[in-house]
Amino acid sequence: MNHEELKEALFTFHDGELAGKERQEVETHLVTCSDCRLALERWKKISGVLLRPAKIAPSEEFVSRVMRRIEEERPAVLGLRDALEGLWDRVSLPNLAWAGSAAVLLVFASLYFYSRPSRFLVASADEGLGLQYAEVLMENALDEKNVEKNEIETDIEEHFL
Amino acid sequence: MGLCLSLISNSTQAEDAAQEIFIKAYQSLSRFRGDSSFSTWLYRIAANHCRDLLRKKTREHSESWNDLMERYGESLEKMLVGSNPPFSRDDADLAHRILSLLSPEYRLILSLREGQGLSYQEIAQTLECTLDAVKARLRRARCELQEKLRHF
Repeated sequence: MNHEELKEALFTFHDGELAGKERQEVETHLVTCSDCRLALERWKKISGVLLRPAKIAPSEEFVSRVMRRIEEERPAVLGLRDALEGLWDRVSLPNLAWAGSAAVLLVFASLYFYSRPSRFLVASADEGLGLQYAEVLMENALDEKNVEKNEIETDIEEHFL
Repeated sequence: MGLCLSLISNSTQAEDAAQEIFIKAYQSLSRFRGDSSFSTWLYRIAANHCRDLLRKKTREHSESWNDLMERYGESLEKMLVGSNPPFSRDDADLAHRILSLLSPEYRLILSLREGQGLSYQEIAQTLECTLDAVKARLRRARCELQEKLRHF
């Protein structure tokens, strides 16, 4: 690199974005070239004075304010997600009635969502997210509890149909 | 929060901006596809939000370099010539005033690089441009700032 090219490479060098041979070339050049050395020092000074990172911690209320806003903004359909999560936590093998209830709710909710999507999913950031999530929840819960689907279906039939 | 504060001098306004950025991120969470790291994705939302705020502020109020130098030239000289002086609130305010003479694009890229320490690659992903564009814009921003400060 000639002097102009080396001078142009100073910012990239300062940013740590030069590697290998080019980096070595700039380092060697800086030892002998006072102009470039001064230019680099000059920028370091300007940067250190005008562009130093702002050190400030957010106020104590910051997190609670953000969380409150998120709760306010939360789409209605996502509220169902928490409800379902809570519901599935309560499902246990000895009490298949709970699983049955949840399954029935999910079936009805699914039918309702499919038949009238605009009413419930309009507030969702990703259309159909609530339904997909509900389905995933159900599948996961079934896997975790090792409950066969047909057992649940039998239970539903016994208790609800 | 650091990026907001480095671009918006008022700490209350910076905190409000940070809050809006988190809300926007929450609302857009379903669109995060993992093409970049989560922090880069968050920086992109923050950069877009801060750029809009800076453009608005620039339209509302801009101080001339001459006015600034008339009032604060001496203080700036002390800041730039002194050897690592402690940074007072007035110094930080003056730094903001000087940087506000740069375009929002220049301020943003300088803050991302110098303040936040993002790599060229991360800046390119944040600003959705090429590596060459990052290098060129950074160079122009630095040259403009150095040119303004040539007498110090």
